[in-house]
Amino acid sequence: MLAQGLAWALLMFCITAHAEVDCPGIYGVSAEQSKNTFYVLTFLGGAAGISGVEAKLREAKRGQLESTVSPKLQDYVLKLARRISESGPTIALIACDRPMGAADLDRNDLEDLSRRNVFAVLWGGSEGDRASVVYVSLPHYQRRMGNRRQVEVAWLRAAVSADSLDDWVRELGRDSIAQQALLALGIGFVAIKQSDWRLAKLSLCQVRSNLKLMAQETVRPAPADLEEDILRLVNEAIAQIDEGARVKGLDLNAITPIKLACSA
Amino acid sequence: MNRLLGVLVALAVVVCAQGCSTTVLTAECANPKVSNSSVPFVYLVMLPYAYRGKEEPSVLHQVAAVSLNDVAGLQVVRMGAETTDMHVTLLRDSGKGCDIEEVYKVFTEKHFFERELRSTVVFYWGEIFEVDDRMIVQSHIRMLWKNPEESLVNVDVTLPSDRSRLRFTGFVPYATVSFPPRTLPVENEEGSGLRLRMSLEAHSAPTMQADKVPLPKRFIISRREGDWVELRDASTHTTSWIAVTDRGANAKSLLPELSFAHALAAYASFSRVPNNAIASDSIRWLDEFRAGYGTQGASEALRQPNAVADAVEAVLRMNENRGEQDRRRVVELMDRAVGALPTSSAVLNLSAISRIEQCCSTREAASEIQRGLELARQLDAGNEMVAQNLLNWYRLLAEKDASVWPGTKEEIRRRAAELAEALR
Repeated sequence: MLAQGLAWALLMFCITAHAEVDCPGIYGVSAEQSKNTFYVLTFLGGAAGISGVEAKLREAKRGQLESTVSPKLQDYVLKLARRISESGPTIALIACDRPMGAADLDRNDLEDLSRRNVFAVLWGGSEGDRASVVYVSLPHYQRRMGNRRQVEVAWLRAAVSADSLDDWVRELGRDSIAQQALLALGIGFVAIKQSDWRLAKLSLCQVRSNLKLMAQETVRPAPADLEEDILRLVNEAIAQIDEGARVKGLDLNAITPIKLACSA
Repeated sequence: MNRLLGVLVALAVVVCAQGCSTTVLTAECANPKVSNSSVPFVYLVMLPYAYRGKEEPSVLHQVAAVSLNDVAGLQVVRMGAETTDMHVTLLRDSGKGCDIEEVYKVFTEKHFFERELRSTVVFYWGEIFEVDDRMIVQSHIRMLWKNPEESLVNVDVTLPSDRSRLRFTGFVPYATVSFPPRTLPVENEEGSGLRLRMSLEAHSAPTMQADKVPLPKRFIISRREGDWVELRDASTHTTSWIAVTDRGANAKSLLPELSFAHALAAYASFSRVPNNAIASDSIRWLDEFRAGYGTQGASEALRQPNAVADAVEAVLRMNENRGEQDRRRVVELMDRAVGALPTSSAVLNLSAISRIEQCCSTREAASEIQRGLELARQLDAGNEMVAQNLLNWYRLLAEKDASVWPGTKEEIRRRAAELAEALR
């Protein structure tokens, strides 16, 4: 039993040490530094065509992915926040140069990432013979405690060419409706964490508005299951938001952008 | 107080319409500033290109990075000499790094530097990556509107039944525009590769033989004489000159993104003072940006910048109302923008309202507008302008012949009633 425990601790140590090298953006910053910044973590290592690229070029391309996608994520935050005259949280993408798959992320990893303000993790996958992107939403995970099948969403990549770092830039830069909806979902839960009830409700109502179109773009889970799952989760969260706002004496339904978003 | 400020702004606008000069200020990223001694039409805030990487860059790359920032600064000065009333802030890294989100937050804080921000800001920033003998450079632009209403384009339609006016409002997708990375060879010891030879040096007279003098920290671009631009120190009023010629650096094609930044700056000026000269300026900068990419202009990597450029040009042409040829050009530009950014709420909304005036002889034409507005609303559900446009559309449609209606009368009435209720 003790030996098993030690082996597990050693394994966790190795994973973390490796991660610090491959993901300096997330493991290299202190909790204090990242207090008001929230992250989407992208694991690139599984992408064919990446391992063969020379190290410095790979590092440069990883940096380009981060510096291209992060402002886009922040734009989306600003778009929502401006509606209610707020500035919103800071959101950034961090690209990790290591492979990742569903089997590599266990509950401990997800909890550790959550503590580091990561609200979504994604990596390259495949559905049949088509390249896809797998997106794991951590707030889902926290609320469902262990039911991983329910937290993964996969969509097909738009790029037909081989999976590469340039394709990642293109894929995450195309602002598909699924990407917008999942980002709004993340912002909603980040806002709940910060007790920002107005942004939380606006964001989650935006998710509801995009839900049907999002389900058309995703391949896993099945559209009906995805809609049902996310709708239930969002509605539960909105009830929590309404309660939080009520305690604070806020009438969220009197705010026109929120009223509009929730009626769309 | 606000009224007084409004009068002052209006006065400045009248005066500046007759020709104001560009002012330039240098400041640290940790303490970003704009000049509040005047009310320019627009602020251009330029962060230095910052090196990104795990290791320290080589000396060769460090020199190249300094040169690149000088080239960018000079390009801004060159463009400033050709632009009316812009304030430029050139930020520099004092060792603590330059982060756009930090700088942006300072600008959006209330009581910015104890005063209100007076004009729209165009932010320009970028990164440098070192890869052996090459330097990879990437640039980005973001706009912060002082008064979001200035970014709007309005299309008014009169209802035949009661002559009441319906206003449709559009706005450009002024979110961050990221440009594709470009590879610049760094000059090696043999002198091969592209030289970044421009430097941000001031001279006492408009000739290279004249003495070098320190570049003033805050200056006004007072005039241009051929390849030289005269700068007047804002404090001491002494003058100095800098050369803005390429001298082999081919700066225009090195950084066509800067032309894009200037087009947006001119567009922001146009939003405050809509006149044909400023619109033409903006379109000229957009053309210069497109030309800077040459044959690569149609590449996938330029999809987003090109789409935003098309939307901006469409708005400028819509406002100018130049006639049938411009109307056709607007539709063409917006078709391209929608093709490139089919899930951008702002683009879908703008495209739909650009067709409203000519609407609608066929059901297909009406369906296209309705589809665009409904999708725009779904994608930006809390946006009051988009919702109001859709409601106005339903009202306009109700007065059109039933043969062009995309849905049944009851369905459209129901949607209109729900939307009107949400907008109340």
